[in-house]
Amino acid sequence: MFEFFIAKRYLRSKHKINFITILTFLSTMGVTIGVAALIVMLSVFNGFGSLVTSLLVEFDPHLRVTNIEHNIERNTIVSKVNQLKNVTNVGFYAEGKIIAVNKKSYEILTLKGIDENLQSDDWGVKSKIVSGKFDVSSQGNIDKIILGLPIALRLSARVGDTIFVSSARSIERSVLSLSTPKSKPYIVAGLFEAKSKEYDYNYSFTSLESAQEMLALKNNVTGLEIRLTEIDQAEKLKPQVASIFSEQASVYSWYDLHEDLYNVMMIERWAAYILLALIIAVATFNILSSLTMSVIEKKKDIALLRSMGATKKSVLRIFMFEGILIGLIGTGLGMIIGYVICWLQINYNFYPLDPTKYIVNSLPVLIRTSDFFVVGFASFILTFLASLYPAKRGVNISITDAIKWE
Amino acid sequence: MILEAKNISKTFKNTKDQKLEVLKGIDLTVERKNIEVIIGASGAGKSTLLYLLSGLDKPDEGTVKINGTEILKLSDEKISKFRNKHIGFVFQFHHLLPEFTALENISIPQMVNGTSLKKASIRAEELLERVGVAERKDHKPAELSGGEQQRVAVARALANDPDIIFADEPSGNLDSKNSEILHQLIVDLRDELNQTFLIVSHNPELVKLGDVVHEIKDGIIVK
Repeated sequence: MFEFFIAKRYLRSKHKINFITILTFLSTMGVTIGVAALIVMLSVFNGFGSLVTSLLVEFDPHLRVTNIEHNIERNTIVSKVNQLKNVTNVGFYAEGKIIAVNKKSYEILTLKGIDENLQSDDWGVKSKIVSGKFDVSSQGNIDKIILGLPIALRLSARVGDTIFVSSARSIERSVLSLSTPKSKPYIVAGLFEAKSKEYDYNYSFTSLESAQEMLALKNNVTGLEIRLTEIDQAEKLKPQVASIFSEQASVYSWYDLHEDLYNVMMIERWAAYILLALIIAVATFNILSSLTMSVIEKKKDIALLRSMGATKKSVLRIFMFEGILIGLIGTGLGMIIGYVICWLQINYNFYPLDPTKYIVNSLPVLIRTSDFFVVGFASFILTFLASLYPAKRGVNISITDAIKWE
Repeated sequence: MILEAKNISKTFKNTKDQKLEVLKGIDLTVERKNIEVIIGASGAGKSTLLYLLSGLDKPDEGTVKINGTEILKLSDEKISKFRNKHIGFVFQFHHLLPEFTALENISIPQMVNGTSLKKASIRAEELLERVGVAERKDHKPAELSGGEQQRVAVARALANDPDIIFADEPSGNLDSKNSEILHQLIVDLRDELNQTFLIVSHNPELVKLGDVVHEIKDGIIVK
């Protein structure tokens, strides 16, 4: 393709007007900086997003079913769910509001009674124990409880201490009947820290039976939680899980459980993407001006090529290729620089974070191949659009005028 | 007959909305293997006629047939392709592409036709040899003398073995020695390659070489 051959040479050769050469260099650099900034920014957003998701998903189930009917056959349900593909753990839970009291301190918490089968060493509360151990069995007549680390500090409760727990319902009843609320002792068996305020400050855990008794649920449960081998399968399994239950039951995936948070993160990511893409857009204006000047400078060459039989389309292609080449070189360099910055941060942590203030000690970065495609595509489209005007200008040059007046 | 033009008229509008009728119904034929020369006073419309006959510009009226093809009726794309295959140009001020070497300048018309650079270079080298500047093949136009540049321009016009070569004052910018070399080259190309030339010139030496001379006066051919 001779158009590419000519465009390549035009890009490489020094212009008669030195300013065009400088402007071409600046436009390439502009695209490079824009692309590198976008790659780094998207990778940092990926890092934060993945950190947040992992923190939440390490604690959350992948699927949760609520509004379950009271009279279901629980063992049958568990075996049916277990037969589904990718399911690793299934268990019922019961939860409700309680007040935990120790000495003169008290905290309002959610007590969650969980099936021990639902716990694993690599996820859930069992994996987040920082003191004591995960044990919700009964010791004599006294049940055991797991508290969040900040709550234990507020209650001044240590592992092995006994605290008293009353359900919100029993307090409500005692207010109405003017009697003392019923409270039950629990031994603090362990402390957990999920590094999520939502969990650490609000949740406490015990056995399913103990929670059912404390919350006066009799033999009923609040819902069912399912853990899968692959998180990506959650949406696919939702309808299959729903078909096991009655129509009233609601099935939520890990994404649904924190949908607002994920949506905000997505909006932030898009906003930053668009704002940083503006750097590339500004750089492409430089491409537009340098190419327009190049077309004016090459007026005679265009006329000459036309006299040799080059079509208008060929002239359009020559200048489009020149603009796209500037864009591709800038984008390629930007991608390399962006990748190197991310790689250095991942391997050498040149931008550390204070671990006493943040939950991680380095700025989290996650490189995704898809980002390179998205950024490359945006850069290509912007460069293409910027090349269109000068190239069309080149097409409309009068052959005879350009030859006559040189 | 290779070229037949009938009733070619061209009017230019100047800035004050006045019309300047340069060509007033010109009829012209060019025979194969001839060197035909168009002469006339400055501003008589010689170059304009050349551009109209080659399809670089469009007349207000008239028809131009080259090798039986009515070129003014062709679309822009078709006339471009026609020019590439059947017409060669030599301009007064050499008009070589400054970023490309002599060899590449001759290869480009062939590449426009879809030939690869490698293949085009073989023919380009032969042509450079033929016009006597083979040793300067890797030099860019700025590194060549005026005479050499014009010989490269002639080689470029020959690149696709055209039916006719249009030359606009080919020796107008050369000294007498280089003009003589160029004129001899034109004669040799006619004799050896049966090439047809239609040349606009003021140069009496070149006019003498013409098999047919057309003179434009007041917008018409007078002889």
